[in-house]
Amino acid sequence: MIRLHHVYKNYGGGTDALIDITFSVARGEFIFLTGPSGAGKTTLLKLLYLAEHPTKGQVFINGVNVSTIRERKIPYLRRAVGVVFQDFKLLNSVTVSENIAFPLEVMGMPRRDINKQVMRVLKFVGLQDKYDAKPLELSGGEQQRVAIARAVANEPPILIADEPTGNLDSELTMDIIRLMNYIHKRGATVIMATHNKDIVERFHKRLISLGRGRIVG
Amino acid sequence: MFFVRVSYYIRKALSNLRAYPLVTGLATATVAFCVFIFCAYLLFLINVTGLLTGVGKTVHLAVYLSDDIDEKQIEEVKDAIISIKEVSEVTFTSKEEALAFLKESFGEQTGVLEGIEDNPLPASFEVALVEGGQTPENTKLVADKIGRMKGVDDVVYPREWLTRFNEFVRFVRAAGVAVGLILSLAAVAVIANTFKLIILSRRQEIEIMKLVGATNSLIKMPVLIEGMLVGLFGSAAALLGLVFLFSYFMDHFYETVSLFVGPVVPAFFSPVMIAAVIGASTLLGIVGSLLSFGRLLKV
Ligand SMILES: Nc1ncnc2c1ncn2[C@@H]1O[C@H](COP(=O)(O)OP(=O)(O)O)[C@@H](O)[C@H]1O
Ligand SMILES: [Mg+2]
Repeated sequence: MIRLHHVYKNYGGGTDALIDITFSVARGEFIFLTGPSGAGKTTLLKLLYLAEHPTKGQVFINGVNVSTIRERKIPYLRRAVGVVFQDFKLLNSVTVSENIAFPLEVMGMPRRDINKQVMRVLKFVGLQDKYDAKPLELSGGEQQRVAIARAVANEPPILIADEPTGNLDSELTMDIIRLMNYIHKRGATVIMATHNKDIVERFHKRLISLGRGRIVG
Repeated sequence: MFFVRVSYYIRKALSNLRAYPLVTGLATATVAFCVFIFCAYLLFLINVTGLLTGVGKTVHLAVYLSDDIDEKQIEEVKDAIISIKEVSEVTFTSKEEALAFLKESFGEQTGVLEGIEDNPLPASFEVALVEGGQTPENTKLVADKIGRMKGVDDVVYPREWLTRFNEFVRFVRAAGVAVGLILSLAAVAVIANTFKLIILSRRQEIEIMKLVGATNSLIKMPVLIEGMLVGLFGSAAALLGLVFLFSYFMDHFYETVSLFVGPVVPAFFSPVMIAAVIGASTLLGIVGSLLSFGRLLKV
């Protein structure tokens, strides 16, 4: 489903953010991507949702080599990858429902179906009564769940989450992990970056550890 | 699918207008301001040019006939003059009419003319030229042609005045076009910048839409519609303002001004012109909003 082959990423500075990364992820796997801050987790995930391109090496998603893909096709590949961004990337000027509707509108879903699906995922993350709130009126944990709801709204086969428990207390963290687990059970391939050792130890999942841009375990 | 898309574009454009009222309001006001200035100038130019054309039309050639030609010959000369293609109208004044006119203009002082036995005034044609044919070169050409005709004594027209007047008209036209060009370039630049502002206010939204898999056209179309609406409403507001200003001018100042410029009535834009202004502004809105994306869609 996902395969990286000797991937390097350099942002233009002296040191590489990613060095010789090779691994593959099968359909339906749940993977923790760990490593200290600055190890290259976000960079690696960005390669997977095509926000960055590898300096060297190849990235395959659904069998498609993303470095040779036609620019016109990129949006369609992105629709197969739901992303929970480290900084949420919610649009604060519109409501929660409108935020969650984005990926559905992008697919060309009719308005009525969009409304139904938005309510369904809001219920799924337990925010059905916040549909009309603006993101800034919500707590951090609630915003995080909105971000997750948006990422899974169009039921993508791949879910990428960049430190989705970043600054939540342990109880909310468990809620989020349970949610991710549930999404995984429903068939999605999940890759979740975290630097939280407790989570990694508590849930026994496949682990990819990064250190200074290299895979260290 | 097509209708889902189109309805999405329109809904999105309208919700954008609502979500960013300040920026779109500012953009509309800017477009309105620029179009207003430009149109006010255009209206001024059109009326000044119209005024000058009116003045130019008053140029006539006076063709004096020799005393020894008969009526049949007069007819022949008239036909020959009319057949010149730059000539639009020929009016005949007989010797008697000329004298009567002279007497009438002197009025009371007819004593001046008492001593005259013979009528010394020649019969004449007053020759008007077609519109746009009143250039000095043209007029001289026509004058020379008529001057060579049998039975024509003399052709008189305001040669010096015509030359100067034409230079003046040409200057007004050139200056008008130059200033208009500068104005429209400035307007386009200002409007382009406001559209840049619209796009920049959407930067975050555009980034998110790209990341959740929006195609470029999906992002562009609603903004294009917004640009279109901004151009449409901006220019409509500008024209509305101009109509008010124009009628205010006509009500309060025209009488004073008309003392200087004569009885030429200023005209507002024709419906075609109004449609053209609104159309151009709308098009500018579309093109401006599209161009403002620049490199922003590269993610
Ligand atoms: N856009 C960028 N431009 C330049 N350097 C970057 C950029 N993003 C990340 N880096 C650098 O790449 C390295 C890895 O960063 P990142 O992938 O964000 O790590 P992590 O997510 O594990 O904390 C860091 O040294 C960081 O400074
Ligand atoms: Mg990170």
